[in-house]
Amino acid sequence: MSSTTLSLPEGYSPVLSTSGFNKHVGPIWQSPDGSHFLFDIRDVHLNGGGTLHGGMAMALADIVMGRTVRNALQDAKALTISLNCDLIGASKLGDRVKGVATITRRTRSMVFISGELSVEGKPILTATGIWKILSSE
Amino acid sequence: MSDYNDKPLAPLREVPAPAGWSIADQFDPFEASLGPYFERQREGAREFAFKVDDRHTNAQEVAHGGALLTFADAALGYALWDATDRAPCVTISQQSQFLASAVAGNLVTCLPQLVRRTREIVFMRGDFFVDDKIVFTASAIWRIWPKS
Repeated sequence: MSSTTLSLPEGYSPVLSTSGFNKHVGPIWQSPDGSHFLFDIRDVHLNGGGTLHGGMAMALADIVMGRTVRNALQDAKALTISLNCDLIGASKLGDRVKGVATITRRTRSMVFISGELSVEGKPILTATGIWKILSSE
Repeated sequence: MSDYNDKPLAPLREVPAPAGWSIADQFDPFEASLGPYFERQREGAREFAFKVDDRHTNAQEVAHGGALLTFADAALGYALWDATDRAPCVTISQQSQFLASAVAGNLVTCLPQLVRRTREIVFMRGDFFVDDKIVFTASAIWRIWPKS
């Protein structure tokens, strides 16, 4: 298993990485202000062609967008109900992927959001999604 | 594309195949890390499955979207390979809908469908079930480089 070779800027925190899928694939780092996320590609994330697996790329989009939704909702929880991903570029072992997401519209029960993953400023994935807000009672 | 791994990888974790299923060969390290994935013959094609465990769940203890997205990409890719004599291919778009939760211990199954194939583009789709309840659906566009 390769280790992280790039150093991480100060103040970044891992996204829910203590159990389950996020622990298995992570860490995924959130910036101190929540504006973006960083993810370093290790050999376990690759496909047989040596590039980032499409499933991992889509999973990362789901995590970046889902965490951005959660940050905006504060205490309320939400679930992905729709995620549309276009895989527009390849990335490889050792690349640091940056993820950003922007909420398009929030209603009482839904959040509409778009997201992008990039490596050194070059987009590798664009996405739109819908999250359903779970009622708190 | 010519350097694609063609040697099956050992799953990261050994999970016995459910009765009637066998372990599908995996070629992508990321799929091997989440597998094994299972296969059986149904309606003249391969049906696929995976069993949800602690590598696949989120904080709500249900299958993480990423685990389903990855299994979907794998299942549709297997079916595309079966239809194209393993043509080199990449996913270029996948539309996914999360319809219901799957929990640890559930077997998630999919019998993928090839909707249309052109020379360079293949349209795929799949519905994903736990028993007879649909939990997830995906349609995808793949780019292929036909051999010939």
